[in-house]
Formats: sequence, C-alpha cells, structure tokens
Amino acid sequence: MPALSRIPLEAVEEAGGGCLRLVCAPASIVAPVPGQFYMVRGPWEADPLLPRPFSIARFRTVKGQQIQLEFLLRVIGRGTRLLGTAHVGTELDVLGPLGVGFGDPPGNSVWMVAGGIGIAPFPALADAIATPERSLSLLVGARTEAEVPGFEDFEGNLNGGVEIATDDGSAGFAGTVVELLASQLDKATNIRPSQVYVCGPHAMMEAAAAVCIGAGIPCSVSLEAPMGCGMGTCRGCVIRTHEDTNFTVCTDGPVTDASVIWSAKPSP
Amino acid sequence: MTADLSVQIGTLSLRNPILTASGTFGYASEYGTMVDFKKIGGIITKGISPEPRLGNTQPRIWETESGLINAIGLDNVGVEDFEHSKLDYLREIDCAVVVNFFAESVEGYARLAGTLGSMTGVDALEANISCPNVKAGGREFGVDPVAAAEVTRASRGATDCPLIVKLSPDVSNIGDIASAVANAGADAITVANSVPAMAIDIDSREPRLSFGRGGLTGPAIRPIVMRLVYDAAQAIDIPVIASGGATTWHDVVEFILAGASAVQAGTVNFVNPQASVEMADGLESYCQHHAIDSLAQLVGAAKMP
Repeated sequence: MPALSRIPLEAVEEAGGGCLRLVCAPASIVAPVPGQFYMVRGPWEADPLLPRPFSIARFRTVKGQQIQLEFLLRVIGRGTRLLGTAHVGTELDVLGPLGVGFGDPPGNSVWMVAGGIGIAPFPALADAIATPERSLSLLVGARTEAEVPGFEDFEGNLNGGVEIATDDGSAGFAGTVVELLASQLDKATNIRPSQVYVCGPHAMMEAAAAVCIGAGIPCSVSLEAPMGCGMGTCRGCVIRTHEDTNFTVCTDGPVTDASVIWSAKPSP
Repeated sequence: MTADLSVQIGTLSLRNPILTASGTFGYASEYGTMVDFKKIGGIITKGISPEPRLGNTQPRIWETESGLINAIGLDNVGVEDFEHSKLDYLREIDCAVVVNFFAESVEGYARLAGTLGSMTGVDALEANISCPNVKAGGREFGVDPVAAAEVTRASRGATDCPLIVKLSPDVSNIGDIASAVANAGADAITVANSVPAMAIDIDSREPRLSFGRGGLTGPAIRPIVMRLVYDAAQAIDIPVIASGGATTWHDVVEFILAGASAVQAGTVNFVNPQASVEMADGLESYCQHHAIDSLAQLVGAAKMP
C-alpha cells in the first residue's frame, strides 16, 4: 500500500557512468518489491511541479525494522538536476512503493539486460533472487565507456558474469546491448537463460523483447514512460499494446511480461 | 466555533467547497488509501463518454514551468463499465460524487446525462464542454454561447440530478457563456478547463505531445483562471466552481474571494494526493482565524476597485 513519506536525504554519491546514487535516511516505511518505484520530489515550491519516478535501486532493513531506500539517477532535466545537487538532509517527498515489481524468475539462469540508467532496478532484483544455485548475469550497454554505469551495487551477486556493450566500441562489445544480447544467445545455445529481464529506453526494450520472444525465452521488461502521478489517475504514462489495448505503466507495470506489450513480430 | 463551510449546488449540499478535479483523481479508488474523503466536499470522476475511449498515444504529458501540458484524449472506461466496475466503490465513499461526462452531439449529452443522472450513488453531473484534446471533445460546444446553452438545456431536460457545466477558458467573454449556460438551467458552472497550449522539441521540431496541442494546467494558469472566475461570478447568480491551478488553501481563499463558491484541486493531486484534505483543513483554520461564520461571507468579497 503506497504512502507519502517525508524522508531526509542521507547521501548523494557518484555511481559511475555519470549516474548518481541517492541514499535516503532509514525510515519507518513498508519494504518495496524490486521493480516497484517511487515518485520523488524535493522541497521546492511549484517549479519543477511534478515528482519524478525512480525505480528502487536497492533497499535494506536497518535498525531492526526501518527501511533505507536508494535510487539511481542520471541528470537529464531540471528535476533530476535539483535532486542530484540536493544537500544532505534535504527533505524528500517520497510516494510509494508503487506499481508492479518483478516476480520470481523461473529456472536458474537469469540475464539482466540494462540500457544505461536502465540498470537502476537490477541491484535490488539481484539481492532478492540470488541463490547459490542460480546464475545471475548482467548485460549493460551505454554509448561510450564513460557512460557505463557502475555495478558495485550488485556486490557478489553477479556470479554469471558481466558483459558490456558500447555503441562506439570503447569498452566491451562494439554495438548495442540488444546486439550483444542476440550474439550471446547465439553463442549460448546450450546454456540458454531461463529468464531475461530488460530495462532501458523504450525502443531498446522493444528490440530486446523481440529477440527474446523470437528465441522463446521468457522476457520481462521494466517500462518507462512520462509520469505525472504514479497512481493511475493522470493517464500520462498509458501506452498502447500490440492488441490495441491500454497499458497503464504506473499501475499495470512498470514490470510486465514483454509479450503483453509487443507481439513476436517487431513493429515496422 | 467551527465555520459553516457547506455549499449548495442545486439540491446537492457539499460539506465544504473542496472538490477534486476531473481527470486528476481517477475514479477515486486509486487514492482510496491516501485520502480521507469525509474531509472534502466531493470528488469529480474522470470524464465518462458513451463508449470507452483509449485516448491519445505517447507522449501525453509535458511539464513546463509550474505547469503541465496534457493531451490525454479523454481516455476513460465508458459509461457501461463505469456503472459496473467503478460505481460500487463510489457509492461507499463519504463525500459527494460528481460524474464528469461528455459526448459528441447534443443528443449524446442528453442521453448520457439521463443515464448517469439516474444511477444510485451519482450526486451530481459535470458536463465537459471544453476539452481541448480530442477532435470531438465538446469544446466546440464550449466556445459558443448558443451551442453551450443548447447542450445545457438538453442535459437539464434529461435529468433532475444537479448539473454543473464545465466551461472553456479559451473564450473572449466568459460572462456571455456563463449567462447562457445559467439561463439554460445549469445549477453551477466550473471555470475553467485546461488552457490550450503547445510545446515543441527544437531538435526534432516535433511537438512534445503526440496530439500536437494540449491543455496547460497547474499553478501556471491560476491567475488566468482567477480573472475568469471573477468575471463569470459577476455575470451570473448560480455558483461558480473554480478549477485551475489551486495548490494550497491560500489559493482556495483567493478563488472564493474572486467569487467562487467551491474550488477544485486538480494537478496538485499528482504532486500531493492529500492536497485536497490539506486545503479543506487550511480553509477551516483561515475562517476561524478571521472569525468567518459562514463561507457565504467570503464568496466574492474581494475589494475590487
């Protein structure tokens, strides 16, 4: 059940690749499910007006029962700039947890495919699903090496390894992370993932979903859309599915099976 | 002593003048765990049409300085699903339930007013004749006094349910439209809807919204709506309900001084789902502090030159 809480900012840290980590002070709030998100706003008056949606990047239980939330952000506009430059102690309005998070994956080979800041929900997911039997791999893409987000938040959870793709070839695979995904699947015919999770720009997720759907591999995506409210009322984040129905990203998602949004055939 | 904040809209009595604006509060259940309904006057639903509507494609919203441009396109469940899947919840909440509605013809408005007005649990109707974000969204009725009166008269004739008519801000003389609608039998008017607006991406040269144009809401439009409320209230005797940019109880008091009998909390619900309750609490404190016994003492009490 979502709640609106006022939580002081405890730290703003560099998280690699030009991303920042917002660490909230521990608070008496309910624990989220990985993949859920929060609407976050600083104590400014009417401008910028709306809170900004952030996936929960990590959370931990401290002092017995308080929950400490962490968000990853990339500065892309005024709202994210203000949050990224906020002083420690700034009181944030945090509304959540919101939406539908990740479910338990089938099988023991999970690939997480991240486009840039799309890495955000995966550390919390890895915390939740890591088991000694399960192999967790990260495929992360960025335009250049300098923009590859860090993955220290995964700590020891990436026992299946990390593959990097850069558009300019400055690190790892030269190409997009979707091309990397396709190439890895070609190589890995005998160790196919039992589940692929994808988060990144909409077009990247659509392309990754097409690869997975085509290969018959279960694929969940964590969708992104402009959001006003996070609770289904403003209708700003509604996208159209391949069946010409509406999907409300903030309440039907953000996490959903890719086949709900896209059919096997990629749109032209 | 607690001030009497009640407001009369036709036969409907609101406990206080705070309503939540259509399109910013869903069908109320979305905020059910966060809003104490018995603290506010009422909620106004998302606009209901005769048939379900998917609305526009992405992108649908674009934030600007202290405001939000939207072109949702009247995405709603349609009257049939509204009755079957939304109304049960609305019957249980402890505040007035106003159903916003629109159609594509005068006959369509009348038919829908009759249908919705007869549903148990619907306390009042708000006819939207002013949405800028669809090709046939009623706005053509809202910018012409004759057409506005025709829609009002037809809807009035179809139901005894209290009838509010939501006007467009995009008119040269709000008083003329307000008078026409009042004379045609409306119990109250809402002033106004979102202000027609636009934003363009200078790199792609494409509009920021898929529909091209949109409607601006939020604090950015409040002074514009303040003047419209004042002018409308000068022109008619039925209640004026202010809608446009109210964010705090200060804004509520300001709208009431301009002539509003009730005030809608709109885009602010996205910023703070509890804003409407905070407005009602703040208004009550203001009245106590200023020894106001009854809201009527404040309505239109601005000292204009």
